[in-house]
Amino acid sequence: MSDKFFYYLSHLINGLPITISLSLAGILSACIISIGLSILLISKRWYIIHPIRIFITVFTGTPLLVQLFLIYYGPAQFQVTRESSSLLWQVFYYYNPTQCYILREFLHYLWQLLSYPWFCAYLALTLNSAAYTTLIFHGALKAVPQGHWQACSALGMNRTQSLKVILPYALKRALSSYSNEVIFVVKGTALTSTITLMDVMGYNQFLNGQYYDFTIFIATGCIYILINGLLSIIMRLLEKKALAFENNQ
Amino acid sequence: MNIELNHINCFYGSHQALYDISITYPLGETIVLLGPSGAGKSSLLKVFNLLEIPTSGEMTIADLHFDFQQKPSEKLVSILRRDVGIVFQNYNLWPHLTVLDNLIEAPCQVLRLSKSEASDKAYKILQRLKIANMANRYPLHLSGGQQQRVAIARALMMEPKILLFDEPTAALDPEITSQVAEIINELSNTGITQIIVTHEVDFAKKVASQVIYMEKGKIIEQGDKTCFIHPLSKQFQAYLSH
Repeated sequence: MSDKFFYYLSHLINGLPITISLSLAGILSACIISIGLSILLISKRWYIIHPIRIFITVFTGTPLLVQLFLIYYGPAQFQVTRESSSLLWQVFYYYNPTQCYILREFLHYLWQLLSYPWFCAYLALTLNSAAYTTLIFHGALKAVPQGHWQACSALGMNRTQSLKVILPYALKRALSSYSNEVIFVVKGTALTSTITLMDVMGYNQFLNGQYYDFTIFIATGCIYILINGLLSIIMRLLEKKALAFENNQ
Repeated sequence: MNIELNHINCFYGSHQALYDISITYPLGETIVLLGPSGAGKSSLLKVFNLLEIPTSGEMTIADLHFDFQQKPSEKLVSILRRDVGIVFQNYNLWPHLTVLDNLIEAPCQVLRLSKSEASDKAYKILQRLKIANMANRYPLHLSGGQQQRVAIARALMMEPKILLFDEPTAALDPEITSQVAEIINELSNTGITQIIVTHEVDFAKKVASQVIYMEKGKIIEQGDKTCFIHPLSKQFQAYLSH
C-alpha cells in the first residue's frame, strides 16, 4: 500500500502550483482589500457603510461554491458582455462614442479574463475572504481602547495621522483570528477543481476516476495538512514577533 | 498672555458638569484643581485642550480665542492642542510602539520634524526625566512611575505652553508621588504653565502656586497657596481637615 501511496503522491503534487498560487494571490489581495474596507467602515457615513455591509452579508452568507459558479458561469449569460453589436451598444455609441469605446474595451478585457478559470477562482476566493477578513479587521479596529485615539487627538493629530498609529496596533491584535482565515482560503481552493482547474483536489479526482482507491484521499489530505501545518507555524511565529510588546521579557 | 475662561457651561446630555466657570490666570503658574470626586475637575481640565467642548462660554488661551456659540473649527482645535499638552490619568501610551517611537510620532507627523531631529530632541527630554536608558523598551514592560514619565516626555515633545495633568498620582505609591512632585516643580522653573487635577492635599501643597477648589461643578474658592493655611470657605476648610 505504501508504494501506491507514494505513486499517488507523486501525481498529486502536480496540482501544487495551482493550489499555492491561488492561495497566495487570494490571501494577499483579500488582505489589502479588507484593510481598505475596514478603514472605510469606521467613517460613519451611511452611503459608505451600507454598500460594504451588503457586500459582506452576500459573501459571508452564501457558499463559496455558489460564488465560484456565479463568477465562472454567470457573465456568459448576459448578452451585453458577449456581443459588441447589440442594440444597447449601438445606442450608447451614438450618444457618447469615447466613453462607449473605453467601457467596451474594459468589458472586453474583463470578459477575456473571466474566461480563464484561474482568474474566476482567484476572484471568488478574494471576494469571499475579503468579506470575512473585513469582519476580523474591523472588529479589531473597533476594539482599540478609546484612550489610544484620545492620545492621538490630544497631540494635535487628525484622523488620518491617528490611523497611521492605531491601525498597526489593531492589525497586530487581529493576527490570531486572521491566521484561521488564511487556512480557510487554502482549504477553499479545493473547490476550484469544480471549474476545471487541476489543483491538488483536481488531480485527486482524476486519479480516483482511474483507480477508485481510498488511499488517494489519504494522500490528498496529507498534502493539505502539510501546507496548513506549515502556514499555522509561520502565522504563530509572526504573531509572537508582532505581539512582542505585550509579553514580559 | 493669559488663560481666560468666561462663563463656561458644560453638559453631558441633560446633566450639567460645569456651572458658569470664569477664571483668569497669567501664564507661568502651576494651578491645582482640588475637590472631591464628581466635582467636575477633570471636565474642566479637558476644556483647556478641548477634549471636552463646552456648551456655552468663551475661552482665550495665549492668542487663541474660542466662542462656544459656534462649534470650533477642527483646524483651530488642532493648533490649540499643539500648545496645550496633556498627561492622562492612565497615560494612554501606544503599547505597540517603543518609548522612543511614542515620543517622536506626533512631532514627525504634526510638526513635520525629521526622524533624526525628533530623536535627538526625545533623547534630551528622556535624559532630563532620567529614563534615557529605556528609549527602546515597550511601555508595558515599564513600571507605572516610568510609564508616567514617558507620558510627560511625550507631551513635552510638542513644546507646549501649557501642560495638563489628570490625577497624576492616582496609581502611584508615595515615593513615586514625591518624584512626580519634583518633576512638576522642575518643569515650572522652566516657565511652562501647569494645570493639575488631584484630590491629594499633600501633593497639591507641594506643587501649587495657585489653587482652585471645586464642588459639584462650581468653583467654591480660588487663590494662591496661602489658601491651604487660611481657607476662606467652610467647604474647603472641611475638605482640608479630612
